[in-house]
Amino acid sequence: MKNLKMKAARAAKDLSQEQLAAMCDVSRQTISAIEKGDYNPSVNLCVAICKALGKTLNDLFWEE
Amino acid sequence: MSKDAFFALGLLAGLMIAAWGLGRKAFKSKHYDEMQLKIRATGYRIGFFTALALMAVLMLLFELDCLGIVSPAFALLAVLMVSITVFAVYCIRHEAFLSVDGQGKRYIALFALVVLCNGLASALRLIRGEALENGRLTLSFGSPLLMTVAFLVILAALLIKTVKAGKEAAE
Repeated sequence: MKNLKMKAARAAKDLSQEQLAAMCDVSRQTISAIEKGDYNPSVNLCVAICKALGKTLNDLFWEE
Repeated sequence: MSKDAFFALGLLAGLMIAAWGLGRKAFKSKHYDEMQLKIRATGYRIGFFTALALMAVLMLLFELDCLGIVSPAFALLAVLMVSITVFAVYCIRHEAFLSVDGQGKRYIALFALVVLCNGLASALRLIRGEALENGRLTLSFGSPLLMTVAFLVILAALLIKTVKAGKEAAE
């Protein structure tokens, strides 16, 4: 399932996938795969993404 | 000891020297993230089962005496190269190989050099009439030939991926 919340949060911070990937110490492809819903990140990576985007885990990764 | 046996020993020695020289520093400096490690693990699994399947096929073909033109050593090397190629192509396709985004050009140049050198080596042996011995393909001819084919396939995969990555970056 696509993670549109993460994509929106990244866009709100005016960050490219590459920039976010660098902040989280992963590859751009991993960020792309997470946003497309092709990859389920580990909790550690989720936390790193949330910190980079200034959001909580619920904001970005909780399914309604 | 036959020429092929010396060749195989030389190959083994070369691999050990390369592993010792490049191994520790090269492997430590590589950084694959969690998704890429997962992809590489899947790639290793696919390569392993490819090797197993090919070994089973080879065993059957040797038992049925259908592979008179190749020696068992050549056949085993072919299995090894095929499984390595399968692993490499899978990882390249899923962007978990040799940092395609970062230094793709350097690896393309390196692999092109390997293809060229091995292609020349096998061509020279063919011209000198050293390709066959007692009606069988020699290891000294077959080995560079297999390396040429394997690295050519990997090089093609790298080139395709690099072009695709460039187009995606542009978008």
